[in-house]
Amino acid sequence: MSAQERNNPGAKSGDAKSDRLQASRRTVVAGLVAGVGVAAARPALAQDGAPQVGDRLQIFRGPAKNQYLRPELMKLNDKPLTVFPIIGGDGAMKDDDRLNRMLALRLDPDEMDEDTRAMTAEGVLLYSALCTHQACVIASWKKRDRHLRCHCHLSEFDALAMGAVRKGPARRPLAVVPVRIDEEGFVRLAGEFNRTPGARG
Amino acid sequence: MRAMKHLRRGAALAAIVAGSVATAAFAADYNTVTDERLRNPEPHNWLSWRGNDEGWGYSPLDQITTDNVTNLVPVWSYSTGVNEGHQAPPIVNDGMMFVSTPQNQVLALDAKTGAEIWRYVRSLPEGLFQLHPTNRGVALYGDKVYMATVDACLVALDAKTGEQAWENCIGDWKNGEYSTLAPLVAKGLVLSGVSGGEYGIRGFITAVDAETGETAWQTYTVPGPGEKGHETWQGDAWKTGGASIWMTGSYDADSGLAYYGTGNGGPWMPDTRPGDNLYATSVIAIDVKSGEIKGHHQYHWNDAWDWDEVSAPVLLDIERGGKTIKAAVHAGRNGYLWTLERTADGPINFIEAKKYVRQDAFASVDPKTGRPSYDPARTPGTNKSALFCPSLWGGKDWPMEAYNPKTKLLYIPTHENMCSEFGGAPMEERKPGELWIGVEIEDILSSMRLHESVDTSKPVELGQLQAWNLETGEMVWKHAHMDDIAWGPILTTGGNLVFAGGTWDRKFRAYDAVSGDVLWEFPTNSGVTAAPSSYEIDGVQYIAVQSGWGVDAERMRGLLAELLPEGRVPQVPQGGVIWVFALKDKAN
Repeated sequence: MSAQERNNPGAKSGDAKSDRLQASRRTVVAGLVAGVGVAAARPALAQDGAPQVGDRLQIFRGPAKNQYLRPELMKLNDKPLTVFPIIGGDGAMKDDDRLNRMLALRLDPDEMDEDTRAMTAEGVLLYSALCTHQACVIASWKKRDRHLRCHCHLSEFDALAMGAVRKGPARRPLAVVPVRIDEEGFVRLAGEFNRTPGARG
Repeated sequence: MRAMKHLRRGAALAAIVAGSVATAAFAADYNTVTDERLRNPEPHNWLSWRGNDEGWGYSPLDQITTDNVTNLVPVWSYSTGVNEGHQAPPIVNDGMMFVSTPQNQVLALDAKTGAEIWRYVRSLPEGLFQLHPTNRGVALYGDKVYMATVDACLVALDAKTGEQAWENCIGDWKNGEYSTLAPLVAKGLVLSGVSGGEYGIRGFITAVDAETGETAWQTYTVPGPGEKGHETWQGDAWKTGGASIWMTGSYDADSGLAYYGTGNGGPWMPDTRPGDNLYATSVIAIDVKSGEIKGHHQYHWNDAWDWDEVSAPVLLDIERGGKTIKAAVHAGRNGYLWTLERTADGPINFIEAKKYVRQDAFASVDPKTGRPSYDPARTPGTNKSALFCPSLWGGKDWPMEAYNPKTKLLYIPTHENMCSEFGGAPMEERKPGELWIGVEIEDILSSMRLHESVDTSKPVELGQLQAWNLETGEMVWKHAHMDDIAWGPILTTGGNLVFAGGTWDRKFRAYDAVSGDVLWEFPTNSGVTAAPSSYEIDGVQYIAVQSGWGVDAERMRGLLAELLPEGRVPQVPQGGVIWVFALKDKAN
């Protein structure tokens, strides 16, 4: 088993196209990392299993299930992928804590506001999956509006504008976490959530 | 049967806010609740979920009448301190009121003044995701108060102090099991069950010893291999077949049988679970002592529409063709009013099914067996979208009917002119605790359709209150809520009145039980989706109800706001309040 297969059980090794994409991405990553000011080294793991800067993300369900998140697994403007952070290269998915649940989108950076653009790499955005109203798991995507919608009370959050509330009853924006693309082409956390995920009044 | 899990004594998981000096007085005078009292409740009390075993939602009290109800005024109110859908009735035992709220609080109050005696607040798991964050009420027995919780436990509290006596976690919330129903108490047992039909669970009812909290029996509502009814499933579909239990059963004390309605088959698409799928979308007659299922009637087989049939049937005797029938009556989510016959040994016979709202999914109903046939064009499937009426919330969702023995009418909160259109998507392997529906959430949220006959430039008839004569099988009157919905359980009284909320205009109303005329209305703090109750203290009749809008009423409101012109569907404020009303001259 290659190192890539170990790190990414769903990925095909030796895929020329994939390799080319990864190689070209390294250049992009370097610039974006500087742009969002992330630490180069991954800090020590937290005892409580919370997401950490540098974590990769694993896809929770769908055709790319269990693969590590890469931009090419995502279609522009398509519905979000549910992902959880993983601990290190060989670590387990931290899916036992719903506060870790995230929605990965790939959107056009030109459509985003400036603050949101600073959170993205290659158009990839990561939002907390927990609605800020009652902490329901968000599972609906209004593609036309680029809104994430909670099915519990139909709150809507603008994915192009830092998860701003566009429809009540939620009052707080969704939590968002900056990302970068590493030298192998995987999405990694490039910072912490900008606010505590879930409902906090 | 399965072994009892997580039985704990003490109050390790609970925080109790002690009450006032009133506690000692109420503790000294608490009137123990016996089987005899539950079977024959005093008119001045409201001892159980629907006031009596038969599920009538009827109070014989008649101080408040059609002639004086315009003098009804609030005498006290009490903020529950929590948001979301408040659905529980105030339960009253000789001046002491017990009310449960979302987040599994129980409030014990002086029913005359609203003074707090004690408050129990359950500490719920941090990671618990509540698809239906509500509770439909407590049960009383002995000197205890029983509540089912959203983390799938049963708790017993000391009625005098609120201190937790025991808890028995009958299900596993991490598997998607949760409880929202009011428990049923009979033969010294406390019966509860679990929701979770959208998580791929296998439903069950559990009976627990009222005194010790130890599990007496557990019966799955989807039969396993070797059990009768298992042949209506194929492969392993029974393991995740749904048929959840989220409404309190009605109880026939003569036969010792409880009648429970069951939820939809899971996942939603019928082709994922070929067969009739017993006992999903059914009523089952379950022997309270043993847990054995003695009879059933399946309202519709191999459900395709998310039409849970969880409301327990109303039990009553009706005259048909010169014969007295021990009937079980149910306004189905599938849009038909079902009249069934109970038997002492358990089997349930079909008598009649009548459409009470527009229903286009059934091609016919067999007049002998009650088995419907389906219109394939109105039946969704995997990769097959279909438009059907009524909507997935049905002709009537969970809000309860009421029966008044004086008027001999059954009152039903109904929905008309709403339809749904959706189909299923190929499914992945189930993960415990994850939604496992088989229909994409965005497809559900965009599924609501108004009937093609609706002209949205004019007010639309959406909610209704219908009154049916069960002996003739005819609707007697109907009150239409124009541009509003009807999510309010019903109370009817000996004063020839019907009380209900359920509308997004926040109003709680009194109707003439004979004519359907609105006689009185009061705008509450929020919307009323809770069951009202009535009781009497010191010669004064009170009407009590919680107001607090949420859960599926809010979901339906949100979807209708996208279909009706702007400004026609208002926001409903959040927050729970208990309201208590009496006649003005009596209140003073």
